[in-house]
Amino acid sequence: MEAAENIMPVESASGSLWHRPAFKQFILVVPALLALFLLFVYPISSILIKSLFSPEFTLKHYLYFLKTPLYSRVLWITFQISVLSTLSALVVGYPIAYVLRRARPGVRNFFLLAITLSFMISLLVRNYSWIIVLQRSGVVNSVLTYLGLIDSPFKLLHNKLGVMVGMTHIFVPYIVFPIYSVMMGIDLNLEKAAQNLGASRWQTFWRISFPLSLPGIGAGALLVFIMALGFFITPALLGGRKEQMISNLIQIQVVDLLNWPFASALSVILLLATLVVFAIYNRYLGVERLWGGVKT
Amino acid sequence: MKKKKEIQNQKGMTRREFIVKTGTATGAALVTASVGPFVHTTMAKGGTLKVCSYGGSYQESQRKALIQPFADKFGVKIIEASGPDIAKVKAQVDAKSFEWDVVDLETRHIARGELENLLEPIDTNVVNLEGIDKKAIRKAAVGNIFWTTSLAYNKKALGDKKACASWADFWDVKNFPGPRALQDQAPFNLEFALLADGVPMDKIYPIDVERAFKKMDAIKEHITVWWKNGAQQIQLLTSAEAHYASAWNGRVNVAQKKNVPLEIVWEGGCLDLDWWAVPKGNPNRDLAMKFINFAISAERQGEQMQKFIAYGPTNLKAFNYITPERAKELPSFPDNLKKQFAHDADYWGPNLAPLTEKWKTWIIS
Repeated sequence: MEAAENIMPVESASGSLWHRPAFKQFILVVPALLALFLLFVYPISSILIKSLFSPEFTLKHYLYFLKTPLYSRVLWITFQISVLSTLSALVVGYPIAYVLRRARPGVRNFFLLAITLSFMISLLVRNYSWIIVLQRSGVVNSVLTYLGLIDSPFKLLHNKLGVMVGMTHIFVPYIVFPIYSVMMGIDLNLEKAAQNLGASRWQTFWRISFPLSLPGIGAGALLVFIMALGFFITPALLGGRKEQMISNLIQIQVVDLLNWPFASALSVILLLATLVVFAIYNRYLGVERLWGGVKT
Repeated sequence: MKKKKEIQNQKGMTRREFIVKTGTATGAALVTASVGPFVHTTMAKGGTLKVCSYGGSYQESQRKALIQPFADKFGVKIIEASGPDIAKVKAQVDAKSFEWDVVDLETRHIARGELENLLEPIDTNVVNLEGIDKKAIRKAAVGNIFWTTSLAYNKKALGDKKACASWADFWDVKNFPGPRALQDQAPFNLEFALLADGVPMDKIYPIDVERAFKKMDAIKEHITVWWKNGAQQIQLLTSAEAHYASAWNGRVNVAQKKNVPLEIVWEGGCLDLDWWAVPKGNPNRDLAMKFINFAISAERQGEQMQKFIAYGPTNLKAFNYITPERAKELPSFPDNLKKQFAHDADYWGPNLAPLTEKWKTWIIS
């Protein structure tokens, strides 16, 4: 790109606005900027304003958050569930990406298609399917009981385990694709070279393949973690009484209690918490890696 | 004003005109019904009315018994929507841009709407309240159905074990074993806890919060599932994931009709209502009131409950249009009615926020 620009004659700044390349490029981004403003900047600012002014400036909604233990406790639960489901999606998704990278193209395409297809099944259908599989009289317990392996059914549903299974299932594709695309950019000859120099398979993995795939892990994990923070249908259907999410409390404030300023404050707090995670990620891994760049 | 004039014109038309117009309207309605059930296009001489309700088999019963007949009779074009709540009403009232003229709302939404002045007062010059149960009359809403949240169980799952007959039995896990489910919310549950603790039905409100939560403590660890939505309760009972659950009578009835072995215990049930209301400042208020008047008539409610859904008519004269066998299945049938208590919207209006916080704190600890 840089070389090309150097060779091409740069138009003089004296040309009319229309003929400046920078302006032409700007015109192309205008629709995106408008959409970003209308769908992102405007709503988020109005939520921020609603949480701070009613109608005079006040911090009372944020103070209420601080002095009522329920909300910070549920925010903490939300973080725990998000971290655990991200880790579990990583544990399931990483080997899939690893194997796909090394599979024959036919096999690889088949499985990539299968993973893409799972995006197309509605969230509710997937949740209810897990209920059928995991409930007391469900597939897993019936089979185990039939085989005589257990006397009384396992409690697989309406607890943290149920939530983990359901959320992992939903998040795995989001984890697989970023890791897979980073892995596709890794030269497999590096592994051969390492082994040629006497590294065991395990050493090759830990010291060559794994570190090189880290940007993919970071991108996938961040994407999934931020999605998980806003989840509430899956925890509501598959979880027990303790799996309460902050988004559920926000919804109650909006729909049932009409306390929109406080709901806005809760949303802003959730957003800030998300930004903190993003900042930590940026500090240690670098945001540029999200779009495939290299941290400088 | 223009609308009002049109309505008056309609009243003033001759019998022949009426027959011709209704005929065309019905024809047009039949044509559109085959295209899509949600827009009832007619000659639209009587204006357009936008109605929002809760969807599913419930809204279908309203469509067949109330909405379509209203559209046919008065030549009104009706546009249906689904998924109402008071937050959306507030958004419309604040913006003075109305997506709904008539809206079906649950009691807690009506109570909140009245507190925040978001609903038009019912115009008793248009809406005839004669025969309407007095529990179904509020300043800014008229009840359109009675429904019950009560104890339900799966008969087959219990086998030859004796079934619970009251909330006290439900709390008695020794003599009535089996997995149980309740809804994850404060309303209804606190009332059921007080009943189980021996509080008489007429002394439930105002709720003794400490006593109710203490009783909830006793059952907490025995509840296998805290259900979140209406589909879940029936799924839990049908699959016997829960042998006992609090459930809505209409949903239980639908399952029974599909030969699922469920039973409902009317004893200690909480009788609640759904309401018709009009968003405040709606320019189509007059036609909306006219629709409400039509929809709560004995004949319309009678047809709705007899044929399409097992809720209770709020117009007591509607029982004249309902067979005795059917009446026994409905929440406002006198024998069922006397076993239940009425949900107190005025208690929950201001108390929902603090008690929801207390409930959520209780449930995660």
